Amino acid sequence: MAKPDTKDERPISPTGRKLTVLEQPVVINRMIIGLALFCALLFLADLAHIRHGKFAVEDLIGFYGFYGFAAFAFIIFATKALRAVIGRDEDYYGDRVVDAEDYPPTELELKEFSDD
Amino acid sequence: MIEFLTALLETPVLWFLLGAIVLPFIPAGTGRGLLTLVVPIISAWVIWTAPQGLGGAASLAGLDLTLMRVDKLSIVFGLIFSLAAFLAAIYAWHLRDTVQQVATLLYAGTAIGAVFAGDLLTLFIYWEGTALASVFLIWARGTEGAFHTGMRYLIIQIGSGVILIAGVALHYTQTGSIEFTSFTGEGPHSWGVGTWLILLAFGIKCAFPLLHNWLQDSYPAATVTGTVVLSAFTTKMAVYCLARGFAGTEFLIYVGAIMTLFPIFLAEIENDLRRVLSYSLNNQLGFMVVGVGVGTELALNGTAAHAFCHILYKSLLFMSVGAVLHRTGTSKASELGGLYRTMPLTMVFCIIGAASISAFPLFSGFVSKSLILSATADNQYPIVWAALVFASAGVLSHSGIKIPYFTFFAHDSGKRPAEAPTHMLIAMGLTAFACVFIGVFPQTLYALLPYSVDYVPYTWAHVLEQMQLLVFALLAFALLMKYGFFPEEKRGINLDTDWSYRKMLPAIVGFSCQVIGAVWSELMRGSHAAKNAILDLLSGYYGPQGRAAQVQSTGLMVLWLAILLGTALVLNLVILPS
Repeated sequence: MAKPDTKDERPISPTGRKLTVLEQPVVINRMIIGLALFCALLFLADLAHIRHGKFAVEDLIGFYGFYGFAAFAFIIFATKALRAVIGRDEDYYGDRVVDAEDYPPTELELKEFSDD
Repeated sequence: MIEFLTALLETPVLWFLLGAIVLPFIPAGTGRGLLTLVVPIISAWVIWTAPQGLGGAASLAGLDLTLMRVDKLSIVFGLIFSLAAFLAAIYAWHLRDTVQQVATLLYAGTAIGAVFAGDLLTLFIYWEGTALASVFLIWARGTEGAFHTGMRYLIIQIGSGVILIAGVALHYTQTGSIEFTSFTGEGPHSWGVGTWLILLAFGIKCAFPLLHNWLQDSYPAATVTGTVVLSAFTTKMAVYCLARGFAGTEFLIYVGAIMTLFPIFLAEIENDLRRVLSYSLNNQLGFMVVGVGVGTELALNGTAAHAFCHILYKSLLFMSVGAVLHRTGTSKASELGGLYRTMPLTMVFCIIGAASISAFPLFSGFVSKSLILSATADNQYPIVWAALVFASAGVLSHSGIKIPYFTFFAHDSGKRPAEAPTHMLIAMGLTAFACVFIGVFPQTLYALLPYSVDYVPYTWAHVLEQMQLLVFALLAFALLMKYGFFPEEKRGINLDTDWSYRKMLPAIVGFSCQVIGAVWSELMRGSHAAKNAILDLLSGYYGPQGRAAQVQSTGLMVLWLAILLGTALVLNLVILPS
């Protein structure tokens, strides 16, 4: 995550200002550690044997957790390879396609944030 | 005709038609906005108070039509369609475009009409109605790209209708009935061509694998408000039709499972967030189709419940990304990021939509998806069940994380757009409330489902399973992001099956034209040469310099004349005696 641009003095919303703390590396690391601890807690909860799945594999301790982790990681690495194969430029189908043209600004209400 | 109009009076469609007729005569502004809000409310009231059973009888060309078949399956779809039209109308309050407003009313009206159609001819009329009305939401963007996309969309949608009516005609010749009821019979081996064609028509609109790409091609091309409207109706109308006509068809379980899987990967690499949501929509349809395939009461309840929840959270996600597009002019992940600074409310609503589609406990997706997963496990489809759990982690990756993260967090794009307009915030707020309300009080939704529900989503086991799956996947995301393994968002598109008709077919046609052209020009060249040779030959004999044109002496000509006459005389006397 990029460091906040301290030189940027444009106004932002009060809620947004409070949330900028989420961009600090220390906070990010703490959030990841918190997430890992939560995972550990959920894993330990399995030891209480409150789950009884319809398939034998479900009864393995932490099955859903490891499956979720592995599935997510697999998807990310697989898509990297996939993009190399099927990725193309935006004007692959020509320049008169929605991907290569701008959304007509007259149809939108483009507006910068202000404190007013 | 009068009989038909009288039958229409019993249906909610009437109010949408009246609204569409009246709307252009009301000055653009509050009055029109109110009309677009009131019509769905009346529609919901008509549906809620309609007596169960068959109504709206009419006849056309000697065939009996049923315009209003009311039962619990049609009610739940009719109600959610009305609610979706209402929420979309709030979201589109700023709209001053008569074409889009009329198209939206007609589109919602025809989709609701299809849900209550008791016969296949009425279904066909509404089926084509949705295609014709909805294309204007794409064309309304007003660019050349949108026009071409709209044409592709229209060809496929109308094509689906043509296949449907062909299927209906064959079905009628075989069975003598046009009643819209279950086609399953004794299984696929007993189906005639007509039944297969009807399934194909439903499959196109339901975005079955390889028939799916019209969806991802067209929805991101529509207007900001148009995409929200589009996301609700066509595909869920097809899901309803599958649930009505093909419940318990086992191979649909596998079709649905494939649908849940392949869009995950395409969504993950897609840059346009409205196209990411379109792939995600496809993936969610897969869960519903699996429910149809399993076909038990629990599974069909799951399909109906998931369609209901899905329309809400998918609308919410399209609304939030639409609001960002409305303020920044782009919906591309590579151009966005860090918008939480100035659009915090839109961010919160987006995260609620993301949590709902990811099926976090206390959000709507959890209480509906569990029904389908349980039905799949109950009926012992281990591979399909494993695919669906895998797909659930996939949903988290592209809709749960990618959409909110790359829009509102990730790197700072430097954009400081104003918060979404108030009416959009109200629409998103109400939709987000509905997502949470259903998640916290699932019995309110379960009470609407086609069959009585004896299912408790909030058991310790269910919650623990789902939390483990999602939180471990979140940890995977955090670690991959921290250590730089997460793929960057960059501008570009990805090939999908639309490549076949946008590149391959034109290439084949172009190549064929070249070959035919070359052969033709060679043939023409050859015939030209032959013609010239013949002319030269004839010219040699009969041209100004030819033998026939040479000056002959009178004596010689008299001699030849005498020989000719003499020969004629001899022939007359010797060879042809009378």
